[in-house]
Amino acid sequence: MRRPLKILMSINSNPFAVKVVITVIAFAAVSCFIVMLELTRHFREVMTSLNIPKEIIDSSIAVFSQQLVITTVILTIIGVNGALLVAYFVTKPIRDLAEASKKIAQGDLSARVTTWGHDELAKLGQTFNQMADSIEKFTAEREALVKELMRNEQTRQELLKKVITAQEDERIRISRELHDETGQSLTSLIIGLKLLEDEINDPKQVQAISELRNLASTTLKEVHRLAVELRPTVLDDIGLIPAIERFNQTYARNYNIDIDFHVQQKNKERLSGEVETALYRIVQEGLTNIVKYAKAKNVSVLLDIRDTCVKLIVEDDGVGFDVEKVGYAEDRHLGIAGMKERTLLLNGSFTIESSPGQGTTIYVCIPLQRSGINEIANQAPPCG
Amino acid sequence: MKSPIKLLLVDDHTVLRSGLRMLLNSHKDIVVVGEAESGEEALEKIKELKPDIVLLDISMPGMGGMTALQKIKEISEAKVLMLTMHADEEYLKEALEFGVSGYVLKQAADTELIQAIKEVANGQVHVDSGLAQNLVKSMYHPSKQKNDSDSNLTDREKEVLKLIALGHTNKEIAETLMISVKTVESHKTRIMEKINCQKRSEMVRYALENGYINT
Repeated sequence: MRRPLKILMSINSNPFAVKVVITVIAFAAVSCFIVMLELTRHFREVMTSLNIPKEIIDSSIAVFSQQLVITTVILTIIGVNGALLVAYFVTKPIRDLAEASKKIAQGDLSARVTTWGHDELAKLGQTFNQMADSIEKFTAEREALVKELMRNEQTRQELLKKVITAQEDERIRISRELHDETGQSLTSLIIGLKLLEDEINDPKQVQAISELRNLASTTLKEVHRLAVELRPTVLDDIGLIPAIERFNQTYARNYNIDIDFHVQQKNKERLSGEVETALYRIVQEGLTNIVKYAKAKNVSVLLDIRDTCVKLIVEDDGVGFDVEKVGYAEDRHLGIAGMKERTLLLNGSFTIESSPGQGTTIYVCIPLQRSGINEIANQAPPCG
Repeated sequence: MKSPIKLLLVDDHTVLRSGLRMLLNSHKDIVVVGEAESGEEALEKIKELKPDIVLLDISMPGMGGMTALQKIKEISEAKVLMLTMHADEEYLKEALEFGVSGYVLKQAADTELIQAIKEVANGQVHVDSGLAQNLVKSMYHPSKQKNDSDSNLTDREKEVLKLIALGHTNKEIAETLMISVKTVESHKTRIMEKINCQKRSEMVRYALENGYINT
């Protein structure tokens, strides 16, 4: 019972043309058999009417039937094989097309089909080849575009890095200049005036000099404030943590918000200048945004310095905003873009989470490559 | 009659040094015995002149004031008085660690300096009053009211708290716990209510104190 079923199944999985041919041949064989039966019956009737003895009729029919069966079987076998052969040649272009499509789908864009003659299948093959040519061309163009984009992006990053470095260097220079030169000169002025004041007896003149001295003193304080604002010397001389502490204190006092700074640090070693500057500027920008937009009461600044990366989180409980809807030209967007760029330049990740009424949180994670643990740093999964 | 206080001026700014020299010499109990414009020169002059007090600037080309201070304390008995523009308590802290006897801001040189020199000569310590105040403030960390460690956090809230303390974003927490970001936000709000705090930093401290995360 199973065998014919199997054969039927195998027919079903054969190419379409084979199915058709085998069905036709099966019909032919069955018809042949019916015709033979009919002929035999007719032959017997005719012979009987001619009064030919029954034995002779039977033996003639037996010989005839045998020959007919053998001929039918042989013809069927030849027919099936012929049909299979014809089917193979008829379906070859279609199979070729299917094979080539598969290759293209898998990414081998050089796959083409060979066409013969001018029939419909040949036309289909030619059209297919044209389509493959176009796909190949467009893909090459797209790849070239992507390459160019990547090159541009790299140039942009390098330029940005230069701009940021140049800006920091300039700030350091001006801050130092104000601190060391202008500050010293003003101090000299104050001391000179003090000296003059002590030597003069005329109360009017003493008063005038004293006022000048106060003016110089106020100016000196202003110069100092300006220098710290540009670039706090603490950041370079002592470190990131005291610099952020100082900045937070000034901001908390000036804008009456509660800023809590929490540091977790395994390794007391200082971070690289680039990383320290970036983190300091991000805190600065983050707090500036909070004061400008957030209307926050509570602010947390969290710094978690690990062996392989440093995480900075700035969170406020202010009004929040829809991160997706900040216009590109808005100040706030530029501020966020600036923080993001600084992070990305150091191969870090930058995330901002906020929604109206939920406050805002900035997450910055910068990978560290410290001496001695470089290998571990390289193996570690990217920050994020 | 007490002998005058012998003082060495160390500052890279020539005009400032000459002004200071005139100002100090105008006081009869102070005498400027020498000047130096860098840390290195100061160390040589100290060996040679044996001053009672060294008036030292912090920012100088070459050996800066902080390094010079350490070296001076190694080689001599001289007391060191910092005269500087740096109005950050961090510098003061560092200088105090290295054994400074006084810290005066250049901004207040005209009013405080003479007094400071006299006090230091007497063995006292003189620190700029504003800075001293900041230093004291920065050293005082009021222990925030200890949160009750049994704050009835649910298991889910404990998981969220731990992930927040580790610095994960709400989105990351949502993905880890297979819940929505909104749910993470409401867990966070509830945790803050339960442990009675207003800031993320306080949550992190709570998590540290109660062993949810390790230092």
